[in-house]
Amino acid sequence: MVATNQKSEVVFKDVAKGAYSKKLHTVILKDCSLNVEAGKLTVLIGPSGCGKTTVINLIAGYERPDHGEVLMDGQPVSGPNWERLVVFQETALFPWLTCYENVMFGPTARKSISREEAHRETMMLLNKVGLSEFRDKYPVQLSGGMQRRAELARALINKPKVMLMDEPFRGLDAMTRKLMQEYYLRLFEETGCTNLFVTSELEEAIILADKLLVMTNKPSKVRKAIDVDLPRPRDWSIATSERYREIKAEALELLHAEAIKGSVASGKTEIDLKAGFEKLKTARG
Amino acid sequence: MANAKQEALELVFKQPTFVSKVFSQKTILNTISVVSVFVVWALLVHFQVYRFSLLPSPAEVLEWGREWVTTKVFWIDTGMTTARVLVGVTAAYVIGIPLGLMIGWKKVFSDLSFPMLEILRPIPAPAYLPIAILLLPWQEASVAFIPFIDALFPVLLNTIIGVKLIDRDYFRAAQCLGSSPRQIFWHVVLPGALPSISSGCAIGMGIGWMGAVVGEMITGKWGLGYRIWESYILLRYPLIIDGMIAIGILGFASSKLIRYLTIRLVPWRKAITESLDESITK
Repeated sequence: MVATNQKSEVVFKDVAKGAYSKKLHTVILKDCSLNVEAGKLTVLIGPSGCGKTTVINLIAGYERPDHGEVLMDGQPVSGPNWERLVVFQETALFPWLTCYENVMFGPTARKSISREEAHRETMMLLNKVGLSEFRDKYPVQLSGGMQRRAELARALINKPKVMLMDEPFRGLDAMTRKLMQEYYLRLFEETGCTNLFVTSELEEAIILADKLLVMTNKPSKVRKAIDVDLPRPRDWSIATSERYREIKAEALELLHAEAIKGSVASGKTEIDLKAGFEKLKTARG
Repeated sequence: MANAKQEALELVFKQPTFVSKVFSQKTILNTISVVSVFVVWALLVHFQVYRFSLLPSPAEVLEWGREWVTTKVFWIDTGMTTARVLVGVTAAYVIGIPLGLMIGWKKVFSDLSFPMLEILRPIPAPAYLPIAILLLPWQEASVAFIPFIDALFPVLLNTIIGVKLIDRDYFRAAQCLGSSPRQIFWHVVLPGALPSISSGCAIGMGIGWMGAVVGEMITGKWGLGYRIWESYILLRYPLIIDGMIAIGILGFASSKLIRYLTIRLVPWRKAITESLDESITK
C-alpha cells in the first residue's frame, strides 16, 4: 500500500509576512509560530482572508517569510519541492493531461522510479481512489469529486513527506464533500503521512483533525491549538459525541470572537448589518 | 439494456432528416446572407444607381469567371498567391510561436523585446517592402515578406496571451511535483497556450492572404493581387471581382483548414463536448 517512508515535521518560528502593492501594504502574518507535528493531521482554521493560504505558500516554498523561519525537520524551506506537496483549492489537475497522465506526472518529471513501476503504482492508486475506469478521461470529463480524488492520487504517488491541503474540498456539494472527507480520512489513517489541512469549515476541521489550530484575524497568528482527542478511525458518526460538541463549542467561541474583531476592524460589516435589520423592521411595520 | 439505450437515443436525438437539414434555420440564413449581396448588387447595376453603372453585373462576372478558371493563367496566379501566403505565414508561425512562448513565460524576455515589438507593430506591412526588396536576394521573398509581417503579430500576441492566461496554480503544481524549468516549458507553458495559439494561427492565415494580395499589387508579375490590378488597368472589370471572390474563398478555406488541423492538437477541448454526448447516450 502507499506507505510513506519518512514523517516530517514543519515548524514556524515567529514568522511575519506582508503583501506589498503600490496602494496597500498589509501585514498578513505576524509573530506566527506553529507546529505541524510529524505523522499527525493538523487543521488550520480561521476567518476568511486571514492568511491561511499564505501559511501553505510559505511551507510549500512558493513564498519566503519576511521575518522568522519556516523549518522542515530543522532545515529552512528553500523552494518548492515534491517533499512538500500542495493539493490546491478547487483543483489544479492539468486539463491537457488525462487522469492517468496527471498521476504519472510526478514520477515522470522526477524520474524517481522506473516507468513500469510508475505505471504499476499509478494503476494501483487509481484503483484505490476508484478511477481506474476513468484513467483515459480528461479532467473536464470528471465530476468534482472524481477530480479531487484524482488530485489526491497525483499527490500520493510521490510519497511526500508533508501533504498541504489548501481547502481542497471547496466548491463541492454538501454530500460529495462529506464523502470526500471520509475518503481523505481513510487515506490519512492508512498512510499516516504528515498533513496540514486548511479550511474555513469548523465541522470539517474537527472531524479530520488531530490538532486544530485556530488563527486570528490579520495580522494573523495561531490563537489557540486544540487537541482533538477523538478516537480513530473516524467517520461522521462521531459528530454526535459529547467530546465533539465540546470542541466545537470551544472553537466556535474563538472563531466568533475573531469574526467580530474583524468586522469592527474593517468598520462596516456590523453597522451595515444593523442598518439592514432596522430597515427590515420598519418595512414590516 | 440495448432497448433502453435505443429509446434514449430516439428521445434525445430526433434524428435530422435530409429535408430538415437542408431547410434548417442555419442553412436558410446562410443562403440569404450570400444571395442578398448578389441581388442588391445586380439591382444597383441594373438601375444604374449612382456610379454603379461602371461596375459589371453578377451575370457578366460569372461568365468571365467561368472562362477564367479554365485558363492556365488562373491556376498559375492561384498557385503563386497560395505559395506566397504559405511561405510567409509558416515563417510567422515558426518565429511567432516560440518567441511568444518565451515572452509570455519569462519576464526577462518580455522586458527585453516587448517595447521594440510595440513600436514595430503599428507599421503597416507594405511599408516594410522597400527594405525587404533591398535586403532579400530575390523578389519572391520580398512579396512573401508582407504576409509574414501581417501574420506575425496576431500569432505572437495570441501566443503571449495564451501563456499569460495559464492559471498560476498549474505552474505551482508542476513545481511541487518536481518539474525542472525545461519540463515546465514543455508540459505547462506549451500545452496551456495551445488553444490560444491555434486561434492565433487561424487569424494569421486569414490576414496572410490580405498581405500577399497587397504585396502582389505593388510588386510581382503573377498572382491574384497582380491580376486584379492588371484587370483594372486593362479595363477588364469583371475579372477584378472574380479575383476578389477567389481570394475570399481561398482565405476562408485556409483559415478553416488551420482550425480543423489545430483542433486535433487540443483533444482536451474536444473532450468537453464529447463527454456531453456520452453522458446522454450511456
